Amino acid sequence: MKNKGIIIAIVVVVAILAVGSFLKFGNSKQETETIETNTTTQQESAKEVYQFKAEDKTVDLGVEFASLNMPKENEYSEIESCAFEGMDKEYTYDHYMIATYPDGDKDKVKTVYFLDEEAQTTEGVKMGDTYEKMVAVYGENYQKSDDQYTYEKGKTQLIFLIEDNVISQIEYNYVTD
Amino acid sequence: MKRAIKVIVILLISLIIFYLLNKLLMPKYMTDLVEGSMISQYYDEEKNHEVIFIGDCEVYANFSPMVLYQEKGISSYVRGSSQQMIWQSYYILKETLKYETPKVVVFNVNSMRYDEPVSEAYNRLTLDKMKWSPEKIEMIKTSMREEESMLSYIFPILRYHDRFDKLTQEDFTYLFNEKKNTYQGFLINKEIKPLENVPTVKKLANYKFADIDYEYLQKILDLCNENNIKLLLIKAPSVYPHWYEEYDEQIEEFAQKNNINFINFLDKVEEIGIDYKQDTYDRGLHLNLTGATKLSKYFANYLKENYTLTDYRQNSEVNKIYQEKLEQYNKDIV
Repeated sequence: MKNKGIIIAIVVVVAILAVGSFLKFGNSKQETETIETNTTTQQESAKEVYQFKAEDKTVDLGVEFASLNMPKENEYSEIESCAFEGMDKEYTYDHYMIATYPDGDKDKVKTVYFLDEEAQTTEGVKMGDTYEKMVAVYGENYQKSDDQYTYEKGKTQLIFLIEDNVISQIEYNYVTD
Repeated sequence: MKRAIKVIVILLISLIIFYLLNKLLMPKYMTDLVEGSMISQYYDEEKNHEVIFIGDCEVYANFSPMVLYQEKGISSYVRGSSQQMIWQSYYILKETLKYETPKVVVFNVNSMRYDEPVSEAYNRLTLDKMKWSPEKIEMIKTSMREEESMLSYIFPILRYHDRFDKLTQEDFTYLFNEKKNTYQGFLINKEIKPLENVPTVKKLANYKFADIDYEYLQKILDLCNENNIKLLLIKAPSVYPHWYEEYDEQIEEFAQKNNINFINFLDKVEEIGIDYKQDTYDRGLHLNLTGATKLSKYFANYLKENYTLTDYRQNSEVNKIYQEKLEQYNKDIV
């Protein structure tokens, strides 16, 4: 009885501090689940992703840019962020541009962006083709937002912009967390 | 009775420890990511500003109130922060009006392109050190991404518990105080990283600003009108992210419809004399000190010509405060 007050006080303090720990545990659990899900998704989709093929090169999305051994680009630019370190980079070739994002000390492929009608997707669709051609090759299982049509495979996307029934832009994109 | 006192004392000590832990673990933003301390630096300032800037990094990096004062005696403050979303600008303005009523509010419209927060990390830079107020609470509610919680803003320990093993001397030095790292909200950067190549300009599926952006732009305008303040819309001369013609047309339309001014400084780069080989510290995203000085001189003239503003150089009391700051500023910019 004598120590009842002290015990109550300690319980209250522990309860307050426990909120933090509990939420921390909750977050960690959530993070673990996310990591597990991501790993599974990556494994599942490893065989099912969009790839861009240019001449003799296959450009995998989400991989380290240096590992692609790309030829020397025509133009290179760096895009800094507002306050945080690390920057996006763009490597421009004759008919397409590859953009990377920083992941630790590595630059990984985020986007392949077509610059003209000379570039074409691995399945043979290029800028200037019609909506019908896109559907004939990739089907109707796309997500539409305004004039943008997005096909998804795992963490990769193939995005078409269609204006007046004609493809005016093509982009491969890697979905980052 | 004794027992009750014991309980109260233990509770008080526990609460103090809890408070101190929260304070200790919260990043101080003094030497690293100084952008996080900008919002709070305003509170200690003399509130005599006739021009208030609100907006993202395009205001705090590009406009120097010291130059505005030197050139035309304009008293101004930049309440900018990194990736400040338009709803954040609105609440920051609302908070500012509790302290003072400027004659002109300058809003940089770059944030109109975003309809949702860019990241939790940027939210923190704007929100962490803002004083608690109804505005802050509303701002957190509007800014939070799915993974965020109000509790983590109230108790930073929930967000920053993993900083225990990353604490540095800075966390102890600035536990109860902070140093100023801006001049009236202007962040000096003297580096030069020239613009070599402009990043690729991508086509967008939709160039229309989102409803939420218009909603808050209207709220900013209404707030200004209610307080007899002139709203001036600007687009700072950042080369990227690309400012599309379609964006410009929408802002022009809004400005015309509401009879307010809009200046796109990208159209005035030559007139101002900005040279992206010399005047930027990150390849065209922000201006460095020389670029910001050029732009601020130009803008000082514009403000003086278009608005009725006091020349505070004639006011001995205010002038004394500014001269002290200018003395330090002129040392820092060398």
